[in-house]
Amino acid sequence: MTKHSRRSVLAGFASVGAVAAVGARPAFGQQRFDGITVRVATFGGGWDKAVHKYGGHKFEDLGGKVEYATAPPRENLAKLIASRGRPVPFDVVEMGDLTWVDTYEGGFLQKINLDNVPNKKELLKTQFDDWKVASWVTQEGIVYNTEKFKENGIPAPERYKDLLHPKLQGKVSVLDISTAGAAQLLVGVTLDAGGSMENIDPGLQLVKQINPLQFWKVGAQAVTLMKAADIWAATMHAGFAVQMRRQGMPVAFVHPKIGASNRGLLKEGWLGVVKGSPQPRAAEFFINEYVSSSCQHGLALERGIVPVNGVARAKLAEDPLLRELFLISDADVGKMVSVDFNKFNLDEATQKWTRMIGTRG
Amino acid sequence: MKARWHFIMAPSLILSLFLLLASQIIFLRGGFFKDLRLGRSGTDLTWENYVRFFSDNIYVDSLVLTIEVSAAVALLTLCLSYPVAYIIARMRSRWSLLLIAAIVAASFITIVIKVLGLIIIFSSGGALNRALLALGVVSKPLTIMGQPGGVVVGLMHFTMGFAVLLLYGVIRTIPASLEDAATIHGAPRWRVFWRVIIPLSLPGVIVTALIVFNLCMGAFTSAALIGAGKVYTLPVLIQQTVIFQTRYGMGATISAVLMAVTLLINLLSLLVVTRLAVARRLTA
Repeated sequence: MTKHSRRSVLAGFASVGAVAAVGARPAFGQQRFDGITVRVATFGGGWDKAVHKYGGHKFEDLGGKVEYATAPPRENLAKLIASRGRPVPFDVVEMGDLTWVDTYEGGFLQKINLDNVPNKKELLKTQFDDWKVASWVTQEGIVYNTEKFKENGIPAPERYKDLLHPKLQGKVSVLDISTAGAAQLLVGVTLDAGGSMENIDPGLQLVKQINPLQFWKVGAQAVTLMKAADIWAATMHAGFAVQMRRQGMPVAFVHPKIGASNRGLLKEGWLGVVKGSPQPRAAEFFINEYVSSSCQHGLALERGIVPVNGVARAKLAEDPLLRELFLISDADVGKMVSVDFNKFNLDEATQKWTRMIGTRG
Repeated sequence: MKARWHFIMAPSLILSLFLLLASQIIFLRGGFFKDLRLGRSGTDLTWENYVRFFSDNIYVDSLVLTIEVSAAVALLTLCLSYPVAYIIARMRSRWSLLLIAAIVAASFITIVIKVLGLIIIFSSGGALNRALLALGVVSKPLTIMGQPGGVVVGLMHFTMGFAVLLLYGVIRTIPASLEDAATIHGAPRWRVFWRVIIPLSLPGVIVTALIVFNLCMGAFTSAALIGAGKVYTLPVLIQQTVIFQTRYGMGATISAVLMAVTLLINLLSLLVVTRLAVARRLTA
């Protein structure tokens, strides 16, 4: 199997609508899950609640119970590592694209019986295989406070380098190397600074020059600072801009220009069934509901992800806010950058990042 | 026959040692194996992780920073806690009990809530910065985020309650009549404090300082939240190494070094204080 399928996302957008008309059949008919608990490792910060509201509750409607273990993907991977030789801590694991390779290579996943995930028909063929099913796509970039920028005469940013504006010193939050979007950020700033996916040094220097107030590990941290106007800009995905706008905050989102012709970055999330799960069928049912059109559409509206479900994706443009904040047209999406994980080395990037931030002088 | 009261300590000492060794032995052992990623370790014993620790700036800098931050917190916390503890210990009204109860209650508040409160207080639009700006004390808002100084403030907030309680207990054991006697014989207030109260409370002060120092050496939450990914103390580095990089061997090595250095500093402090006390007795 291939490690990654970044290009699938591009292909996915280009194929919006092509899969929209395909219907899905119920996964388990009248099967009930009385007395069965499915444990799901996913993101916190309200994401778990949204997943439950739009998809997870269907498992409970059939008599089961869903328990969410919320943490960033790397922490969930650490829990799996720590549980080697013992009962697994959860049945379904949600992974960022940085984490999925390690989770797979560490032998923590078991094959998914895709017959139990009929909603896969509404996904692209590149968005599922025996080991994983795509759960969302996010568009990475810069969220900024339009009022503060206007008040201080700062032009709207167009690219990562624009965060070097003197008035933004100490007013920017950049995501931490341990978060799911770290690869996209580093590749974005690196390409903007003249580096490449194999050589991220120029990007690290750019991050250092930006001199952020904070490296956020949980999105809510940056959102809180943005609300308090302690920061005026943050590198995060468009979904955060959606959430902040729905809360009435004066923010806009920029898909940063990268190089001469590219604009914006893509990140993918994946779902897998944990090897040794005592409830694989329940886990597969949960995954099926997660990628259903109703759940994906709900998550898109409330949390600002780009659905992997074609039916839900086709509806994106109906929402004026999503239309404003997302790149939706085939032409725009075609110019977005995906990280090539055969070139980008996370371990090396982490070492360099820690050295840059943690070393004095 | 003379009672051997120190034997009473034995059960708790044995239990403490057992719990310490049982939990640390895994780390101590793990540090001697090579990391093979994803929590896997090699089978051959090696010093590689220790060599790397002491030859790599990131680890040495982090160790120095951790010691500096912890020492600063211990010193500042003592300076601020001692007067509070003294005043409460010498109060004759029922307010003293109320104040002690308030300090105990405050120490029950989880560190995360305390730290988040600090972040709000120190936010650019927060009450403190508004007041300081209005008074012209500062020209731009103070921030504690991402600064070692901010981590010191956060840790002081965390440890001050413990320090006041410990020092209160120490000062209560010093009879107020000694101060009265010194005063009657004409010693000014500062001299009474310097020559009577401080020397008599010194052992308790040192123990308090070491407890605060030790708490700070292992403190993660304040460093992680207020440090905002920019202040790499050793506990933050351990978390990143173990959780994010899944390099258990290196994480174990950092933990072992942190524990060893903390123990060493404690022993050296006690040694210095003991020598000073002996020298003082001889000169007296």
